[in-house]
Amino acid sequence: MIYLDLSVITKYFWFLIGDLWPPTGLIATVILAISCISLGFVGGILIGLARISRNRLVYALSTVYVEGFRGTPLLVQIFLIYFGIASFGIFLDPFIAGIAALSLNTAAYQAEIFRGGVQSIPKGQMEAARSMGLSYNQAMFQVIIPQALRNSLPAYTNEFITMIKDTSLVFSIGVVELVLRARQVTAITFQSFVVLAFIAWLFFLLTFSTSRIMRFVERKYAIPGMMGSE
Amino acid sequence: MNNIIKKTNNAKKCPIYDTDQYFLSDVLLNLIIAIRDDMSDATEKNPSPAPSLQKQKKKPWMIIGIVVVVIVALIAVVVLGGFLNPTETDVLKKVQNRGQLIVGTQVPYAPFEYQNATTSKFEGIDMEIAQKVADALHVTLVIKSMDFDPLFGAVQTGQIDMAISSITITPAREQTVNFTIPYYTANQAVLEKSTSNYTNSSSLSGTKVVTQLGTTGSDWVNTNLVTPGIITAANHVDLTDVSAAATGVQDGIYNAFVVDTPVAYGYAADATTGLSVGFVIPTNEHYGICIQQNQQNFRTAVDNVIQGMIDDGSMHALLLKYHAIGV
Repeated sequence: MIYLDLSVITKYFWFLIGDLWPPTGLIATVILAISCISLGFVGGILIGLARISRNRLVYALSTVYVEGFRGTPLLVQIFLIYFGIASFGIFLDPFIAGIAALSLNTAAYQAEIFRGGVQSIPKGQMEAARSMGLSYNQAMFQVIIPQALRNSLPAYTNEFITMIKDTSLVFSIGVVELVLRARQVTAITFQSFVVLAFIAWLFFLLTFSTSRIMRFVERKYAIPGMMGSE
Repeated sequence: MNNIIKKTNNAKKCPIYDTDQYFLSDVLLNLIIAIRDDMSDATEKNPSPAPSLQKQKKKPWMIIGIVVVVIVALIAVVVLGGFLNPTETDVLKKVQNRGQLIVGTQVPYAPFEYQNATTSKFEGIDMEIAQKVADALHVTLVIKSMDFDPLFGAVQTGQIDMAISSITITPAREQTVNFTIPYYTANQAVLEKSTSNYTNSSSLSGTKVVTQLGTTGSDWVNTNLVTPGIITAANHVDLTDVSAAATGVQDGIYNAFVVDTPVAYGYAADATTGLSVGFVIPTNEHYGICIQQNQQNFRTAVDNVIQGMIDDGSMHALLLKYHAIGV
């Protein structure tokens, strides 16, 4: 019979939570998630705009980027950016390499989410804005994008939750985040079920809070009577 | 249904659409009320529409009946399945019933276990010992490759029958798994780029040292380099992949890789890697095969195989063939 020792959770609780600097454990996971989601959000908007541009070169480059980063596994991208670049002599800190790989990947997915949101706004909005004398940029940023972002909030929630869980992949390049900490504890105590169930619970808390926060944002920016509200 | 819902006080109204916002408790309450009304044939309270529009009266007994039958069927499958295939706890009998010996290992760890580059078959000292054990038990050998640190959990839970992966016998590990008699003695070595020259522990001060997660090499670095402060905890990197660690030293990401001596000498012997052994750490560790606790029959069977190999000289010949001794 397997002996389940629950005291390893209390004994290694702060070890799993991790230190603030250099960030390890759960704190490293949270910092990774917040950084790559924010960088990906900004990058996603820029690349999404490039994807609907009429300039052929900009459109081609952004398509190559999006298809490339969506078409290859995230783990391979992480290895390439850390070990692959190092074989050319450029050494990155594993934490920075992890953030870079995750942000580039999530920017590609968020670009498509953004583009989907923008293209779902009726063409009449852009026509009306242009005929009122707004330039293309003004029309985009003052009229279309506020509506588009509100419509694509559920899709963004999906991507944010996926990214929080995908930060666990950087253990493979040696970033000491929650999953690596859990495996180190398992290597010492051999209580794999207890430790892994506990970190699954911590991940669930993170993703559930994110989805609740996004639901609050959705409600706050909903316009009663319009689509994509309540 | 709408008049029932309006009776509950929790419904909020949207100013434009006059729809109601439903809460789960209200939905459940309304469902129960609807079933009760149906069961008491409340047609006089709510005048029914024209016969052609009247919906089929709900039959709650049918739903309850179906649920009961499904639950009984599930229980029957589990119970009968249990009687027909009783879970065998003795590993030796399990192996013989199955006709297969399931062995867990972590590759690559040449010369003990690695995959042939062209045929993808598992080869190495540990793999040949596993084959001898399978032959002695008259079963076929099935090899499952996984990461190193989950091997112990897999043996503990019975996912694999035994784990053979250059596993050192330590008192800490003996608390959760059992080991056979030792079949090899090793030390730890510091693998470095041929251009570096580390001669002892203190010469590693301020460097980046990589080890494999869950190994005795990792424990040694924690005890002898991180705790006395020779390197910082951030500069001790634990990777799950041995080849990534060796390539990392080659590329210059890490300064040293602390790993078992045969593996280090294996990398150093290959001139194309550009790696060499800095210094040897005499830890005198014994490799054993990892077996679930309280499996005396299986353990005796495997012990006999190993002892037989040591007695008739085939163990020595095997180690010589892979250059694990004589270095």
